[in-house]
Amino acid sequence: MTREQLEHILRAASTIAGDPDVLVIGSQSVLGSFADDDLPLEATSSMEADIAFFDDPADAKADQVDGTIGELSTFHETFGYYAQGRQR
Amino acid sequence: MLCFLGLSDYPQTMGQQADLMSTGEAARLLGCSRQHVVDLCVRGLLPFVSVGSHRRVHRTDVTGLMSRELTRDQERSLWLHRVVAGRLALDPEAVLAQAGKNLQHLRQVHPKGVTAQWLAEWQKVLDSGEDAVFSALTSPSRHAVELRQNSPFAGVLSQQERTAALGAFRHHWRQAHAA
Repeated sequence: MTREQLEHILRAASTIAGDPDVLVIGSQSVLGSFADDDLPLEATSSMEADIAFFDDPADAKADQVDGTIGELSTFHETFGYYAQGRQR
Repeated sequence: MLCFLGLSDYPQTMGQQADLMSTGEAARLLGCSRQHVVDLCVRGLLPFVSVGSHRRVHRTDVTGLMSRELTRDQERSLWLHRVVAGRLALDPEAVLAQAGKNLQHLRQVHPKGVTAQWLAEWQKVLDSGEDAVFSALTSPSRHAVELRQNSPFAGVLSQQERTAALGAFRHHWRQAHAA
């Protein structure tokens, strides 16, 4: 996943959840600090980004993200990558 | 020895029977309770065969579980792909055509790195025929878990089906992991 693709996921997730504060978890979080050209392939080789929200006590936002731009969704089919909402 | 289908699809030979373990032996190997092994069988996370009234599991499946169980995300992915497997059983031609189309697109989006390697692995699976695809869609092995994270089966399920499957999984997870 490139940084541009991650940014796309974050914009979509933020809009879906109505929350601008999105946390990226896991291997793709490194894209927040470095451009993908500066990273080894292993660091950016994924078609999914794990995301969570600071304010999501019942996991409703994570579920919304899964439902809309998650695995096997139309978003996944269209763009070739997807988000994984992380529940607590 | 009479063996019949549990959640496993293994036809048994004498050599394979030697690889079978009781749930108690599996529990000792995994360092957990026998009941936990039974639960894994019931939840479809550990294939088994029934021998009389007893469950028997394959040593290779047990050792595949030794380093970790499936995470919630991995179980959710497995759940979704079981639904895809159901669709595959109903209409293999359409499902495999969709997967082939997706795979072409995905290889353009992810031309390099580990993801590209998993996509190449999917191509081999698709080329191997429906039985191999069923296995990749529904196996709890770590290899299949990694494969499914790079799935070419988007678009097989309608949004309505996906929503229903995700809702059913949430219910299942709450019940299966209730303290």
